[in-house]
Amino acid sequence: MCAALLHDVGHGPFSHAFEKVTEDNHEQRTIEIILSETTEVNEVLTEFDAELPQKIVPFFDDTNLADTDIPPWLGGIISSQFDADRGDYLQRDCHGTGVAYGNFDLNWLIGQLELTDEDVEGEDDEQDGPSQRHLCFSNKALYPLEIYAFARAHMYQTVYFHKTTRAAEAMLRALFRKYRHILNGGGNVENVPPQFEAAFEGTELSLETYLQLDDTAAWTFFRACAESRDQDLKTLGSGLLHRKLFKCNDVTGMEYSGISALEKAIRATLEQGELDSMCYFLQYFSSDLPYKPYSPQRDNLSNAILIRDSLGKVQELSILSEPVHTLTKRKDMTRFYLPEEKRDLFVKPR
Amino acid sequence: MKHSFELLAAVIAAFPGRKVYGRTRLQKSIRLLQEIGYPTDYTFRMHHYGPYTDEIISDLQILEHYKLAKETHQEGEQLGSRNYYVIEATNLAPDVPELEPYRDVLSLLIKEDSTVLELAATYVEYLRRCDDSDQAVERLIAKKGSKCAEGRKDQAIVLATEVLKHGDRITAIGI
Repeated sequence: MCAALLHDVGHGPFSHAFEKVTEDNHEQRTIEIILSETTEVNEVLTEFDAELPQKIVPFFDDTNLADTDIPPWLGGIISSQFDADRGDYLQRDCHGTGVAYGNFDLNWLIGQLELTDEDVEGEDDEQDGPSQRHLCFSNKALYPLEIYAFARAHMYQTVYFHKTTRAAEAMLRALFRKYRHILNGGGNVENVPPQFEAAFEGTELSLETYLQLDDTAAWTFFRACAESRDQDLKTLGSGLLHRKLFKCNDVTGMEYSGISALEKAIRATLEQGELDSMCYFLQYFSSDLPYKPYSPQRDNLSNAILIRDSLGKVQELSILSEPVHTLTKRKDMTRFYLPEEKRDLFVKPR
Repeated sequence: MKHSFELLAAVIAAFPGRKVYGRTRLQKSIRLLQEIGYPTDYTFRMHHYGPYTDEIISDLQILEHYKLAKETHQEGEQLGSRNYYVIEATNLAPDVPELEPYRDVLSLLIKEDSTVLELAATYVEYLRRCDDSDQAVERLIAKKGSKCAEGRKDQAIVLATEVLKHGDRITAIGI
């Protein structure tokens, strides 16, 4: 439970977008936060059991998980197609955004789980070694699992990949890139929180400084950018601060040659107007595989969703469920983003 | 400025037959090219087989979407041999002049044994993290164990050194 609760504690502000700035590995930072005697997290854990920090650390280092005595199914609770993280964030985000289709019956599903060492249908019987124990749902979980799989798929397509959410993310990345460019050129921006400046300078951050990189510091950074003398920083910073986000043009389905030609033309026009096209023309590609089918040759069994069929045999969910099988195809989206006043630069080819 | 997926496509297309046998080979080749200035901007982390980034996997998805490359999963031919991916560039590969200065280095990497390539990329990753090369070698041996045997560690260090020298030359010419 501690591993599940703490698995993302090492993220910086705006999680993955910021990770690119510091090149810090959030899993490594999670380990550092858990092991460092200076953190409150460590204090709470050691108060319960002095060995607890060391016991949960292998969950965050999947390169070493196999060398521990932690059974793979337990690792699957922390990271798999049906893990504690998804069980938590889907329902929380669904509540937070006010959509209903992200809901599913988590408690019922947990109640239908059992541990088994029976073979999975279709798996290679010739494999050496004793059978591993794995988590498996009872047959009664079939329809709630279908609802879960579709809840996840719909949340990705409509909430996580929403055009406005992605506009903010694309602008955030462009802002970070521009600020780094200014620092690399010897420039400076006033009123940037010192921990942010340190993060962009590329020096290794102490844990103490890293922990000061929170959302409040990030919003202060946006304000500093919005008030800076650099026009590009100003546009991106104030856009994020005042929710004046770039507008989306969906080009999903266009061929590469068309997209590439369109992009070149728009960039050229922006640069004729002496604008940095990297700040005003943003391309965003999203891809999601709503449900990853299990392949015995390629995947770890602890990552799969297993369920008993009506005869009691253990199957992988997408084999048993036709609706879930339809989710095994990747969904891609390509979008161009431009400031509202530059939106007419985009002319979708017929 | 090119997108990282375009830079990746150009590297794949530069392999013999426009095919890269194994994700590991692709990951390590890109890691070494990036070290000497090839303008991909991937963030690598130490993984089972040395430096690795999910960003290359994401870019491969973009390449598949645009039909610039395709990836197929192959089963190992011999009993007990590992399965692997074949990544193949199509004829639509984007025009990427940025690759030109790096073609000689890439030829070196293409010729090299996959394990030596993995060791060289891991060594270069450790060089970044360690105070000196001795420490990087120590960590390489500790991480890779028996893979370093039969002279492969030394071959990897020679390869890495050669790649870094090429990098210095490219920087000196000012490309």
